[in-house]
Amino acid sequence: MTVHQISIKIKSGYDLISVEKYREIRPIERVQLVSQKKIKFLDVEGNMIPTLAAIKDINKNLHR
Amino acid sequence: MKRKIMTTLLLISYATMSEVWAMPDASPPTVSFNIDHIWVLLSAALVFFMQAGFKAFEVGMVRAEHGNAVAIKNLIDWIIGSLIFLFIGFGIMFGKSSYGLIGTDLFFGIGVQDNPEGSGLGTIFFLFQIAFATTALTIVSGAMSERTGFIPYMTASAIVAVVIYPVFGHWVWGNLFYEDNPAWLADLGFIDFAGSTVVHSIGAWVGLVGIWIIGPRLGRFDSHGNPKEFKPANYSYSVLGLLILWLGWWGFNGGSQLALDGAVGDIILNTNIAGAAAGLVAFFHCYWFQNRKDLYPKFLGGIIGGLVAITACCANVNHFGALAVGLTAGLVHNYGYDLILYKLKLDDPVGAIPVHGFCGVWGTLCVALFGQLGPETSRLTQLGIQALGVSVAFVFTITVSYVMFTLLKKTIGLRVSPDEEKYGIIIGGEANMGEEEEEMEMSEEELLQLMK
Repeated sequence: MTVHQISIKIKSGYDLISVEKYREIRPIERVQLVSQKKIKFLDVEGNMIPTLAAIKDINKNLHR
Repeated sequence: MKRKIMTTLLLISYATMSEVWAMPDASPPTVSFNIDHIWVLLSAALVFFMQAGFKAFEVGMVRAEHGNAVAIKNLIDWIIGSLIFLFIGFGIMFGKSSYGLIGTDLFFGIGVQDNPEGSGLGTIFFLFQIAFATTALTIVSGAMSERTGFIPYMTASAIVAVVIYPVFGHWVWGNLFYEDNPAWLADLGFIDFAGSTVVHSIGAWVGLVGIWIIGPRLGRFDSHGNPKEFKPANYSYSVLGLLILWLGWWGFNGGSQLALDGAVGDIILNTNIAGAAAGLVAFFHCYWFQNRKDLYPKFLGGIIGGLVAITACCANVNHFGALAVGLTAGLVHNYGYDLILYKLKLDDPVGAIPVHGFCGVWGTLCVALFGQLGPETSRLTQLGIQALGVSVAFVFTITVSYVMFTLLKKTIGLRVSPDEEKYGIIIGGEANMGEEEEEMEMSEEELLQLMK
């Protein structure tokens, strides 16, 4: 499963961002989003990818 | 038996006639009424009924699990839009003008009825205009359906009802309540009889910015950007909605004459001609020249596109002109549909942008192309004025909408959660219908190392 988009909770709603936009967020902020369960990694059809698998997938594609 | 029936009938007849003969000679009571008022009030009711048409049309076009939310959103759109337009929007649109830019009185409905300087229709005019304003809002709702959060959408809807719709409306229709009001686009000669631009394009351009900023529904496009098939709930329900809309358009266009005179019949007939011609062209153009791709939505959207296009010029064209407007609007719709979905890759579940945006622009230009103009205005001059009007509408609406949606996206978030989107949006609560909460088994330090 490849991460295609990321859903982030903002106040009462959500924002959908690309992997590139996600990479622009500072690592410490990304960790906070994960810890606070405000982030969901999604494949191209919108299915949820487990967080750890998603982070590894993003890293893998980055180093490819 | 027969004798008994005959006797009973004779007795009843005698009793009735004897009562009539016994009555003093008096003429029936007279009721004073104004036929124009009745016509505009009836038209307001027809335009209000269009809300039911939009609801049925949209519910049929979206996926089945989202139907309830779309219907509820349409209902609340009417409630919020009508109240806000009553309190503020109407005054901005039709109040005493400040430099031809915005209206400054008639807020909270004060001064609408029995205003010696204002329209004799008074509150009836107000009711008619409420129904118009909420039509613009509903267009936005359709375009952004299936993924937009309730609170951000309603906030956007309120801003449209207070700022975007009435401000631009004032520039074109600001002289409808106070005849001597300056309305700078109308004063230039811009003609938009019943709102191809003022109502339909404005709604569509807000929706265009909305769907661009919020992005497509999850899974709408594959990894190469090609659209994937999303099954609409029920086209037959959309057809019912379309027919309600079509009927409502009799009031939308016919009522915009603001009087029941000899022109009303022609206006309504022109409306029907354009809708039918556009539907015919949209269907067969798609059938023969576009490989029947998206045939149903193009056919239904084409009909509404024709109705939208004729809205600006229904009082200015003859029946052949209306036919020309409809035939061309069908093509404009089909090419606009493909442009939005396949070229720009924007997700508009109900096809609102090609219908209300592109056909709205085309209809407004048709005033100059097919309309009967005064002897002092050439077609080219009128075309320039019409083009200026639609450009101003586009730039103004896009700019304000961009600021509005960007702020909403950054502050409260525009979308619903992926779960809500997948299983159908539940207004007023957060859905959690399949995915279980994930437990992270790593510390924050370990996560940070992984993310660096």
